[in-house]
Amino acid sequence: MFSACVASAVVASAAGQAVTFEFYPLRPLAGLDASSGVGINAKYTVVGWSRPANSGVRRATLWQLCGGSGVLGYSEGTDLAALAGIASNSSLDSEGFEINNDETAVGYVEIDVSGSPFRRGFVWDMGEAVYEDIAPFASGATGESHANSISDDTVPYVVGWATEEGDCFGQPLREIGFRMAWVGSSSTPSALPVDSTTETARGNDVATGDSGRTVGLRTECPLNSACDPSFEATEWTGGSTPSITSLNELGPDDGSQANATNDDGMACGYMRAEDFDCVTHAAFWPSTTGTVVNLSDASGYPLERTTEALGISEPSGNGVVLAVGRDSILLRGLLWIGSPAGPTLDWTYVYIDDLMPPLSAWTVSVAFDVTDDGWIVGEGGCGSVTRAIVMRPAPGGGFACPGDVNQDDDVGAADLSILLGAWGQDEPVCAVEIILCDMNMDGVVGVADLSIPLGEWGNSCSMCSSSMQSMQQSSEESETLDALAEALAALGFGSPMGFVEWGATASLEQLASVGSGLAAVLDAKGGE
Amino acid sequence: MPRQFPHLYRALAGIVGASLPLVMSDSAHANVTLFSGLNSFDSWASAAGEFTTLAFNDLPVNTWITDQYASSGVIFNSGDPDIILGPGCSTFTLDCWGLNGVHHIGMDFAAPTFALAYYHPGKHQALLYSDGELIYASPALGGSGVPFFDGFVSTVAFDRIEIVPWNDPTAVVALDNIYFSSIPTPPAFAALLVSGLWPPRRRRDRRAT
Repeated sequence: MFSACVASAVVASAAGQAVTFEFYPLRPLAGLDASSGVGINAKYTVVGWSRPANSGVRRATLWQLCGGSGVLGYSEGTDLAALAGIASNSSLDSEGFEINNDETAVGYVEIDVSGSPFRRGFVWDMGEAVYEDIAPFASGATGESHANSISDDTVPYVVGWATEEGDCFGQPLREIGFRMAWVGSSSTPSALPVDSTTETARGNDVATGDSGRTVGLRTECPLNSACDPSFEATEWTGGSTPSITSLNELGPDDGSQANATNDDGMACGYMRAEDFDCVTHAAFWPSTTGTVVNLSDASGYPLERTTEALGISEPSGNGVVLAVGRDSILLRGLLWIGSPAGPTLDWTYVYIDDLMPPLSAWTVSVAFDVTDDGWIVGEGGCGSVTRAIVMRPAPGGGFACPGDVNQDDDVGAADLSILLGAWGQDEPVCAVEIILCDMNMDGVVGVADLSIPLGEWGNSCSMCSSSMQSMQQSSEESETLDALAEALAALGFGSPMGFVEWGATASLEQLASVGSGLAAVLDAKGGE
Repeated sequence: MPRQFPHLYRALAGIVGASLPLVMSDSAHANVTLFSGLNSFDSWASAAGEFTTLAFNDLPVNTWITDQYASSGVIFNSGDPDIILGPGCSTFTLDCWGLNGVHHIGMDFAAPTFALAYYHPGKHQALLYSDGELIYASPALGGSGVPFFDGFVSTVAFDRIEIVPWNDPTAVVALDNIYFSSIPTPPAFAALLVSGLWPPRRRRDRRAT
């Protein structure tokens, strides 16, 4: 049902009508500056990473939904890197890639071997409090691995890749896909089969309820760039001894990779473009034996651009399939909507940041995952500000927690103070608090934005904050609201809403002038 | 296009034959002026002086670029493919042709270079090198979408630029037209005169297009 809503939203957006996605930027871990969301489960828990502003050292992070009564809100991040034993000041990198509905997450953490970092696939079993790395296949302490995906089976499957000893054109190690049934720390990975000892492979995603069916990549060793025509999107099916199926390619040199699959047997990823070397196009496979669909071509996207599909939903009740990914040149997140048209799907695309109000300063650079009901997780921001983002289909669109400028999940005095400081700002300034001040996303911080915190005053966007904190804050906010009313009265306004009504017809200069006056009066009162 | 010191440049050409590494040894103190924004081209051109243009519209699509522009004074040496891409007018807005650097673009200049600029889609970082030493690392350039313009004018010469994705090794680096100049900026020019190291080893004033 939601997928149909998404398709409707896209059509409406293209026609310049209402935008129907709510948007929530996820805060990085305390003390860090940037975040990205990579995986989302059916409970809308998100995994990804946080990092400092000018560092590539990421810390795997988990955010849990904690909004109530239909209000979207997220907890402060859980530091998965810390659960993996990585000190807060460490230079070791980690990422969370996917999380299943039992809140077991997978990704990797780096370990230190004689001063050098090596990646190890990692499982964070939150329910069992088991945090376990995945050893490479007999390739010693400097071997590496990645855990890319986990299923929702009762005994979930984990898939990824790990190094094993073997000649890889002179290199002592080669990557090989693995799959394992996750039963805790005693779990043992098994290599996904390949056709020859010169092949390398990766398991990228695993389906649920299908004996660990896995999609990924096989290619001739060593693993090169996407220009390599030997890339072969692959599916492994079957229990103890999986069989290999090469997914359809349009031609012998159409190198491809499968990044994600749903439980209906569909898959998505990318394929080499037919007319441009080293350009790839997002691809969709309707089934193991079906003919591949070039999503760029099918949706009318410019063919000179590199695109890839990274996540896929289940078909909705009326057969709509969603795929998400990005344009890797423009760095814009993409949503492809497949609507049933006879036995096939008709594909359209939309830039995900086009689902935001048109004057919003935010952009979405990539969408990594999509839930079956149309929630999208990825990475967005403005200028140097980078945030994990969650978007969900919802009437009205805009920020999910209007008025919560400082993202503390409560609307109150602190938000108002920041808003007044940004008063009259009509350029897309990329300080995150200023961006968030433009709550109605009309490109100007002004009276329309002020009306939002006044209307939401004292509301909590989440149930994460303790009741004691809320009560204390509520008292402080009430005092500030009183102060605001007094300040407005001093400026000749009978009530805050009277001010809002006046502001609806005032010029920007008038608004800025009165806004400055308000800030001055409030500052003076604060000093009393 | 506006030029800076063209007559002085010509008058001094060929006077001194000393090598440049002495000047470059001070390159860690490079002062680089960044020109960003679609309206910045003229400002950059004024500061850069006479420049060479690569538009990538003179070779067939899918040509793997290495030394095809050597006569213009630049070798593409990225370690991965740099491919001519076009026509693609929504990506390369100047003339529909550009360079697909896949994940990285590296360019070596035959002459010490003081200024470089380009139009591009997406977001990346530029690194300037002199004799193997990093002399300048740019902030993030561009953003989400197309097109963007960024240019540099350095007080000391560089002989290599690397353009890499910003915080995302899997992103694709692509460039529209590239412009570069071997004419020193005034501070660098003065330093060269004082140290008697003018001119550069090789002069170019030829444009590729």
